[in-house]
Amino acid sequence: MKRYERQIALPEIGISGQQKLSQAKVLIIGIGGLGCSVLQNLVAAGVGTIKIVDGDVVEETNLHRQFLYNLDNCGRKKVEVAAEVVIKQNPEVQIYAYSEYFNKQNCLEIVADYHIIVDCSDTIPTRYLINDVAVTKGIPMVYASIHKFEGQLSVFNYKNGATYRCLFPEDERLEVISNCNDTGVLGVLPNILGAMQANEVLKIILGIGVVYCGRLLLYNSLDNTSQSIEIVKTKNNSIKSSLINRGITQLDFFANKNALIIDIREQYEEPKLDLETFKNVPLSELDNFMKDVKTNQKIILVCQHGNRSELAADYLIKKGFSNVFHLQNGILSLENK
Amino acid sequence: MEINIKYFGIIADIALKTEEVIVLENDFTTLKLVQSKIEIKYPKILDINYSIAVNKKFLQNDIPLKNKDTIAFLPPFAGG
Repeated sequence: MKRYERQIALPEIGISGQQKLSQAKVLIIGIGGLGCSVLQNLVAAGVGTIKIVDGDVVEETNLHRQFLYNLDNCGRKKVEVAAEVVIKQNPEVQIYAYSEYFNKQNCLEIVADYHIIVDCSDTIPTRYLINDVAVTKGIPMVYASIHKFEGQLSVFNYKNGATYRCLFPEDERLEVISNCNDTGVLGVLPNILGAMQANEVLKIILGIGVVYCGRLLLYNSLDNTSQSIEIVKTKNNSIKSSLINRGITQLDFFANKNALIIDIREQYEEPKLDLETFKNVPLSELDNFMKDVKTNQKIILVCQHGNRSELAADYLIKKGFSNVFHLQNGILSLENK
Repeated sequence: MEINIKYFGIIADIALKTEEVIVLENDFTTLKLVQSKIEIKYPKILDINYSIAVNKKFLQNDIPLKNKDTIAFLPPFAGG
């Protein structure tokens, strides 16, 4: 604990805050300019478990802004080098390196039980995917991006707040936006924005200060000005339900607390669900029942085999419920455990 | 009436400036009217997905504008 003495000394943090940090699980997507800065800051602060995801390799042109790498690392996977470097900086944290790009196939497996996603990616489609996964999982997305001397920062989906899609509804012509591979960037800018992302992550974990949600920060490094623009939460749930698997396993099902469990089978179906608290709401009555349920309430739908519950989960997501899951393979799978 | 315009990211690259003031002869205009004026002035903006804020608040619908209102043209940034 001596390592953290100077931050524990802050009354807002203390021993209990340090424990919160050590128990937190943070996922960093992209370990380039923003990601290196975020990772170094979170590791130093003692965030207990950090997963870094990137399929890219180190190149010499990265070195002016990505300070975890040096010339000898060129050609190696970024996540492997980054993990080696930061574990020396703080051996008390767990670092998991995932050396593939975040995509539709691996996204849910990667996010698993992480509490916060930090978006340090460098393409717009990845940002939409991160947003959609964050919304589906009901966890915050700490976003930053840069263009030349300008940076953007916001925390999306924090406590069911505004999302990246509220700010930028999707457009098929997004490919016109370039990343810093071809536009050029001064090394300090991603480091500034990355440190700001790390700051938001720490505030979320510690429950201190005001999390920067519902607003977009625009920072200009040339004149050191910043602007804060209000984001209006919209019901643009164009999240493609097809790419999101909302199934949960038996283990997760029994580990769940606080979720509203809804058995959507008809009254006559057997076996009955062997649980203390759940609701039996046949599909025909679901609409009516959901009128009194908050849209951010965690919901787990169950049925006999997991087919009807999957369809019903998609349906509820489209209706605006953000935190909906269903039991994979249904109630019959619970019998065989 | 005068409307202040601010450009960010790649839109500022297209307009070759970060801000300007548009002077209109009549006393009534709307967000969409000013937006199309700007798109005619810098047609390359039409190739870009961007959002619009009026007086530091993002809006998706059209509204009437007042003298000295500020409109920001804001594209997503990709870089990380």
